[in-house]
Amino acid sequence: MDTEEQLIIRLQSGDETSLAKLYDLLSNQVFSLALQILRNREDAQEVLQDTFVKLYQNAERFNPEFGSARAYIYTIARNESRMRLRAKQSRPQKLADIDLHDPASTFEANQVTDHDSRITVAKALEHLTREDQHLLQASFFEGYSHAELAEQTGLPLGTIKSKVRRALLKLRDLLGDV
Amino acid sequence: MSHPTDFLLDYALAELEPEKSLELEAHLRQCESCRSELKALQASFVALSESLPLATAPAASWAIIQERIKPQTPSSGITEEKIILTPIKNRRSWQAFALAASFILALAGFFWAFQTQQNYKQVRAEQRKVAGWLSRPDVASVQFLDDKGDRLGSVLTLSDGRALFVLRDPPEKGLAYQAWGMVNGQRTSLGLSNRTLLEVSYTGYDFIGTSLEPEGGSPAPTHPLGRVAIPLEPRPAPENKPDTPTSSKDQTFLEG
Ligand SMILES: [Zn+2]
Repeated sequence: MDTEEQLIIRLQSGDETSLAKLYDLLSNQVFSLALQILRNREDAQEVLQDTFVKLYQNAERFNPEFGSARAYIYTIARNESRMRLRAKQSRPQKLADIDLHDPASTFEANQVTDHDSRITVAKALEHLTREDQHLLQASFFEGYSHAELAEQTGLPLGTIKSKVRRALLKLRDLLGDV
Repeated sequence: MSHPTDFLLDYALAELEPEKSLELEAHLRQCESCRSELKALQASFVALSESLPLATAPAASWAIIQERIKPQTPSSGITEEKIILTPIKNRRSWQAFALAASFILALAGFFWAFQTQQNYKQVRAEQRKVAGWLSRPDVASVQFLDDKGDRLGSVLTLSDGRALFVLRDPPEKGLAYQAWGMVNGQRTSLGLSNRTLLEVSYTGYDFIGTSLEPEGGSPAPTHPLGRVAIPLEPRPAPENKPDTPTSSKDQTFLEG
C-alpha cells in the first residue's frame, strides 16, 4: 500500500484515484478540524471540499523531501478555516458541551485515530503550562493567527512564534516517538 | 551555523512565502538538527489535529469535490447528462446526491465564466446555499421545466415550508424573476430575484411558479415560465432510472 506521501506524489502527476484514497483516509479528520475551528457544519463542509480541491490543485507545492502528507493536508484545512472565519468577521460562540481535551468526552473510534492516542494527547497537554495550553488551543483549535495572538497578549510577534514553537516541541517530547 | 528556527514553524504551517521556503529548504538539506525539529513540529501539529472529537464528513462532499476538479468550459458546463435531477425525497442515495450536486456545480461553473470577479462571493454564497439545502435530510427536488419541456432549473423544498427556485440563467439586465403562489384560482406574488436563486414560502399553495418580469415586478405575471405542484411529488422509480420530471405544461393557471 502507498504511504500518504506517495499518494500526494502520485497526485502531482494527475492521478485522481490518489485523491480519492487520501479523502477516504483523512476526510473525517479534516472535517473535524474545520468543525472545531468554525463550529458550523455548513462552513466545515465547505472547508472540507475546499481543502481537497486545493490539495488537488496545489499538490505540486508539497515537497516530499521535508513534508508530512497529513501535516500538509491539515495546514490547508486550518488555513481555509481561518480564511473563512476572517471572511465572516465573527468568531463562533464556544460550544459549552465540548471539552476538547477531556478524556471523558465521548469519541467515535475510527481507523486513523483511536481513543487511546487522543487520551495520550489530552494527558500530554495537561503537563504543559496554562499559557502553553492556551496558545496551542487558540492557535490550532480557534483559528487565531500568530499576529492576532501577539495583539491579544501584547507580546511581540517573534515571542509568540517561539512560544508556540516551543510548546509544540514540548508536546512532541511528552508524546514520545509514537 | 545559525538556525532559522522561527521560520521552521511558519514552514510547518505552510505560512512561509515561497521564496523564503526555498531558502529554508536549502538550509534543511544541510542541517540535520533543523530537519528533526521540523519533523517534531509537524508530528505535534498532526497529533493535536487528530486529538479532536471525530465527526463524520458529510456524504455529499466527495461528489461535490469530484465535480469541482473536473475541467469545465462554458460550452461544456451543462450537458444533458448532468442536468438530470431526480426527486430525492425518500431516496436519499449517494447517487441522487451526486446527481443533484453535479447539476448545481455544473451550473455554477457555467455562470462562473460570465461572472465578474466582484460577483464571485455572491456565486459562492449561492453555491453554499444550494449545497446547504441539498444536505438537508428533508429536501425534495424536481426539475423545473417550461411549457415546451425545456429546462429552466430545479425546485427544491424543505419540510419547514420553504422552497428554492434554482434557475439555470440569471434574468437579463432590467428583468427579474418573480415567484407566484397559487391556490383556489388566487395568485399571490411571493418575491423577486435578479439572480438565479429565488427562495419562497410555499405554505398554503397548491402550485408555485415563476415568471419573467420588469425589475420591479408586476401585479400579475406577464411572461410565465413554469410552475410545480406542491408538495413536490417524488415518484417511486426503479434505481438508476431518472424519474419523470414534474412540471406543468399547462400555463393557464399562471396566465389566468
Ligand atoms: Zn539548522
